[in-house]
Amino acid sequence: MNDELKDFESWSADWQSVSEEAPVSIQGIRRRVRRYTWYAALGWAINLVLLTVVTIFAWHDGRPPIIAGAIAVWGFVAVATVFDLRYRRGTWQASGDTTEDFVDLARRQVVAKLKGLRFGWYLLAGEALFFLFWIPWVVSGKPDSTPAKYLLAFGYMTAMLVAFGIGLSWLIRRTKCRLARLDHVRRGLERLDRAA
Amino acid sequence: MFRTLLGEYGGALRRVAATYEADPTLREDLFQETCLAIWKALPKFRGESTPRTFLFRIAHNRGLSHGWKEGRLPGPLDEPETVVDATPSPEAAADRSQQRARLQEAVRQLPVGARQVLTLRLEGLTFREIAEVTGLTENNVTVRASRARKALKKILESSDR
Repeated sequence: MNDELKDFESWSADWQSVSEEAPVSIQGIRRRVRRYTWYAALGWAINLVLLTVVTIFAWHDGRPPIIAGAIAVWGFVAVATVFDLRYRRGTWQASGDTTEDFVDLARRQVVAKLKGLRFGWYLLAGEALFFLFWIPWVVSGKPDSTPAKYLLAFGYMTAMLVAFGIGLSWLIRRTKCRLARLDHVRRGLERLDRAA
Repeated sequence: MFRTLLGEYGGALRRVAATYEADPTLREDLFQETCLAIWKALPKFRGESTPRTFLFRIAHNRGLSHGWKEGRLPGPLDEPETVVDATPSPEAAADRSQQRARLQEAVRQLPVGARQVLTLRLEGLTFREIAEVTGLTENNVTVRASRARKALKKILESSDR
């Protein structure tokens, strides 16, 4: 028997004797399936509720700046969805069964997410530009508009946009780290192939 | 079928999870994720491969996915394993248990490609079956297994010193 076979035989005996006998919880798996389905549904539901509330509010209010605001919200959501779908094209299924195919797919998904997040900066700029014109329009339409109200409205929107920007840059940094780790894994897989 | 497969290969799937995650709580989580992935994939299983290779492919891909999301690939062991042994002598049991723990620890330190081929080999799969799981050629698997064996031996020897 050669060394290779001997090694594998002795290691296999040790390896296969490691067994944790904790039972598999079928109920736990069912709960997990339900939880994931709920999460997905909840995400869609939140978006739908937000858009519905904005639309109903604008419909009842009837003032042109409020209707314009609602149209802008729909527009931003539509643009974000279209670009998200565009970036995710070709990232739904692996091209094959191998681990390399699986890693490639994961990389494509992370790259698509990164592109989508970077696009978020343009969206943020678009929103800032929109608010620059929209806030004076809304505030000036009110009979009791004062400079303090302008400041308050601008301060509130600036705080929202800054918070959005901080969140976006944190997500971009995290996604870049994930991409770097994936590339590290890929190099780990390729290292042995070079010799083959 | 799901219950039968898990009854038969549950231990092996847990061992695969252990090669990607040292923390017991996260490992159990990874194992449950693997079971969930199998549950979802089973209706698409057409018997083109054996159930064993089908399950191992899912388990390794799930492990990889967990590994890079948690930033644990390729990484050294976080803490040593505690493995229960049923052999009668306490000294022998301690020795054996330590030996297993060392082996698991050493396997976790291997690069991913080597780790996959080696653990599948340790589970008793033939080179052909490993090729089926990983999608590599048999020749490639043979080369990987040989290099993985050398790397594992080196790690085990260095931990002896």
